[in-house]
Amino acid sequence: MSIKQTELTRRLSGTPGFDEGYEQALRRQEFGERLRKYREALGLAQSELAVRAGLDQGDVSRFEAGKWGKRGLSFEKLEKILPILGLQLEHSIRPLPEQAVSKEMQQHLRALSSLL
Amino acid sequence: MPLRADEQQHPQAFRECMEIADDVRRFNSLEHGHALSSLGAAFDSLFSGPGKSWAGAKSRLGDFCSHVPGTSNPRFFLEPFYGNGNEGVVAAFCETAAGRPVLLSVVAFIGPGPSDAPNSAAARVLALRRARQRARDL
Repeated sequence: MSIKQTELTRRLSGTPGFDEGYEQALRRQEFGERLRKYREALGLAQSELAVRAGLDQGDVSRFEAGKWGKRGLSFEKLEKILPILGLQLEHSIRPLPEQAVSKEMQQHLRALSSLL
Repeated sequence: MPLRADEQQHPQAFRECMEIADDVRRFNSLEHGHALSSLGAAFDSLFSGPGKSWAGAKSRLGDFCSHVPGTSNPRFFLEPFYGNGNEGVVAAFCETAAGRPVLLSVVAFIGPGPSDAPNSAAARVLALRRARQRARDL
């Protein structure tokens, strides 16, 4: 289900830090939805997943709503949850698309990649 | 003045968000800009149901907010939304008997604004007090 912007967030758009934070929050919501789908596919209630992972039901509820950071999802908590869902965390770092970085940074990345 | 039956937030909560946004611009307080964006995305997900309705929306208040114990009609919910550090905003909502979510107050904490709360605990107390007062307009 796609998100419809309300009048409130339309008016907040343009505030420093808001737009990039909003996009990030939406990506986290999508991530939380994927976790929920995996949990539901296994027929697990939030409370069951929470008990198995040693967390509170509120934690699971917040992850699935896309909340990270304080009172939300962290890599540490994710590592507790994923194996129960038959999943594992894969850490990867990829360069940004070329158009998203400065020429100076592109040269720096090229030099770095030759070292790896 | 009573709120319309389809109002998503109390006008004073709307004003509080705009005042926090003004402070973000004035003091370049990016942490509070990020906190507002987390609140904003959660808020939008409450009203992204089919048509213009909150019914059948992506999220419900209880998905990301803590229910304030002992409140039943309306049910109050409180939640801090952080930036990337310790700073953030506390939002107080209520859910009407029909299940409609309404944003009632927003208080910034550890911010540069003159009316910001000194910490999240103080912000919660203030946000809930304002929410209880404003819920009379429902």
